[in-house]
Amino acid sequence: MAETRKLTLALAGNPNAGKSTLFNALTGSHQHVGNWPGKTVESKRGHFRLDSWEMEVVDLPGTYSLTAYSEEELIARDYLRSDNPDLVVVVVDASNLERNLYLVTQILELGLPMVLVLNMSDVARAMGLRIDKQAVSQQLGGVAVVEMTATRREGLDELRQALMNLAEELPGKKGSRRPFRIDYGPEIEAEIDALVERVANRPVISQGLEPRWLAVKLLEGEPDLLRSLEQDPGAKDILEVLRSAQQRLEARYPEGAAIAVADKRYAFVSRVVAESLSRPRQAPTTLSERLDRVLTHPLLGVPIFLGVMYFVFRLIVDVSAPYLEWVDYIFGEVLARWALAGIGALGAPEWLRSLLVEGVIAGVGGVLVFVPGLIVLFTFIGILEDSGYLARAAFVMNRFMSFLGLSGKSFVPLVLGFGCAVPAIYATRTLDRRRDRILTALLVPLMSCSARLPVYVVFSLALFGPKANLVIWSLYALGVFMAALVGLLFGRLLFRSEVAPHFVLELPLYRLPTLRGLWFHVSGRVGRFLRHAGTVILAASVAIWFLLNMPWGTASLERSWFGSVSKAIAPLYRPAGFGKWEAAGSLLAGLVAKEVVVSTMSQVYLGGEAQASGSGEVDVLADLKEVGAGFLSASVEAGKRLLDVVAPGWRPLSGTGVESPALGKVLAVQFTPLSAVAFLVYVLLYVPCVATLGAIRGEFGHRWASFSAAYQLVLAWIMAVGVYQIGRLLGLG
Amino acid sequence: MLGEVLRLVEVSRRPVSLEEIAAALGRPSSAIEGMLETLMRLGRIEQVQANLCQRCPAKQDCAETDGISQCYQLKAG
Repeated sequence: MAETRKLTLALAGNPNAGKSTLFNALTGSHQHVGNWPGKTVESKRGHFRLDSWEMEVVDLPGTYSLTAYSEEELIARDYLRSDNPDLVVVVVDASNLERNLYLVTQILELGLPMVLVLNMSDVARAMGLRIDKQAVSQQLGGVAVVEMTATRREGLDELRQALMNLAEELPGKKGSRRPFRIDYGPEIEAEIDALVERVANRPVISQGLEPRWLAVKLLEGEPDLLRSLEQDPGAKDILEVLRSAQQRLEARYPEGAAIAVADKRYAFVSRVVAESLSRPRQAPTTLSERLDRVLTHPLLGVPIFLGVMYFVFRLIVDVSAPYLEWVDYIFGEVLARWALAGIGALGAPEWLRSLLVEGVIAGVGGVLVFVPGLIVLFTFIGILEDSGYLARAAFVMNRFMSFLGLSGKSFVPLVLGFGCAVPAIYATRTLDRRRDRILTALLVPLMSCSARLPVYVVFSLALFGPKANLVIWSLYALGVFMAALVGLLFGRLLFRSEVAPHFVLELPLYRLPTLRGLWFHVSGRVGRFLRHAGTVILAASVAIWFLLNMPWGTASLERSWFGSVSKAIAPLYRPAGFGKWEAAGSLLAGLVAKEVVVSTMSQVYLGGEAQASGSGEVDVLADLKEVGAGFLSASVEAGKRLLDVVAPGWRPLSGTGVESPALGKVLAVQFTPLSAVAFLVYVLLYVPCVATLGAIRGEFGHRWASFSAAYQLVLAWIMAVGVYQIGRLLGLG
Repeated sequence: MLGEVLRLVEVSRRPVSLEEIAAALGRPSSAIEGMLETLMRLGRIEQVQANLCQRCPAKQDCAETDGISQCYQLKAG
């Protein structure tokens, strides 16, 4: 049997060139892929086997150059420079070759063995572009060039073959390969030669890197390298040579040495493109361009974006509502009945029955009924991401972001916040200024994350029937509005006023989302939700059940430990119209995670009911038939509703045919519409979960995490009280 | 090429858009975009918003009312 040989392979390239898609195709992983730049903010690792080679793949964040300016670019640059991967696969967007080749030349100069992937070849062909890959290879010193369409796995076999060839060549060729060189012209070359000799003799500076690359970077004024030189007492002569070289070059090139070096590199890239790329005489107007004329129109862009978001939230309620009733039936009746029968047959004690039915099934099941809604939400977010529309949304919202004193780039973490606040906080690493990072992280929790959706849906269906989707959309819109208001306030009070930095967002071409891609989006995110339900929510449900039963054997939930603490804080919420201990306790438990608000309510309002409804005889076959029939009728109803939404002349959600879950029926009695709105506003605005606070603490320190928690609690209370009291004055409740 | 882009921004008395630079140099916008990014990173130019409609000769007859575009100018200092 052949011996396994190990190699490390780095995936590098410009943002949104398709690195993560290729990473998934090579490793079979399910990394989050999105058609927008700046989505990968840290390097991801995976493995795959290639003949006798075991490849460790490192997916690096996208970068435009090896001179890093933002944190994720720093990660990519440091990895390539210091970790010395065995191979680098540089992924370039074939439809935008000239821009992408700038980074390619820098990585080649670094002396790393490379395979160049011309990704999105289908798009390039559709634009009428023809790339002669032999010519590209020849111009770049014989590097292997592979044409691919990673989303469709086209060219994957060719890439694997190229990697294998390069891997086989490595042991003999590493260190002896003819290094790639750009001819910078006699003046610059003379200065490079003078520096190369000195740098190569200073291991502290060279650290095993290609001396010529270091010399070029020094001439470009790379800040990190200059700092190393200044801190090294033995490098004074190098500094002197560098200073005089820069002076000579400035005399020759008035725009400075850095521009002169970059200019020569661009000239080289232009030559490569001239030799290898042919464009159609008359560039056809692409579908992307035609769509962009409408979707990024200065006046139409924002209303279209708001309309799209309304459409998505309408679908979430309309399409998922029939399934909600079906899942509720499974948990509230079938599973509870089965569990009771099973436990009864085993002769288990009463407390175990109570824990299982009132704690676990009522708590976790109360949250899992919302899985259909989340599937719809994640499917549509996936479609918006993969199609390239979200990048357009960031573009049209740029002016709005500037108004808040933020960079347009802040829009991306804020949109991610609609899914989950934790990755959104990490995504702030794509921002250049620390003030933007902190301010955006303070605003992210105001975006309605998917964990809040169960709370919105159960209340809206119970209390607002036909207007449920409007209520939910309004809550999402209120979150955005409050983020704008808070952003304006904090931007002026907490941070020095600065002009927002430049915002260059490459608009990716529109692509038709693939079923495979959507499956990754939905399965990954729903899987995370289910894992959360099986760990955090399960633990919280068991803990709440325990606290509801302590002192042991208490007959009244209100007098339990949980009830006593909840009763103590309930008066705080009286001015907001929901000063009952059940509501207060659910909000307190919701600090763990927002889904826990619903699971706690299921326990305090429904625990006993679940046991009562689940105490009948068990007929497994009849139950399974009922479950199957329920799924079919839910699917038919969902199909009708989908048609209603997408076809012209659609009718609004009638409210007939869909009942709110069992919990909703109790809430309709416990809350008035006005107190329910105040409660939902509170849920929207107060601290999302401990994990979000942990992420803020990890990124910016405990002071900003404490500030975030404090301001959200105060803001949520003020807004909820305001809504309730103004509503009462207007005679609404 | 980078020098040409810089000089073009330099000699222009007003902020210039990506499309204007690309047209003046006869290069595709996608190629110029990367150079502008590099010049911004090197601290030589900055991005500003400017209303191109204000100086358009056809503004009287044009249906477009909001011509605010991302433009580039030399960085102060």
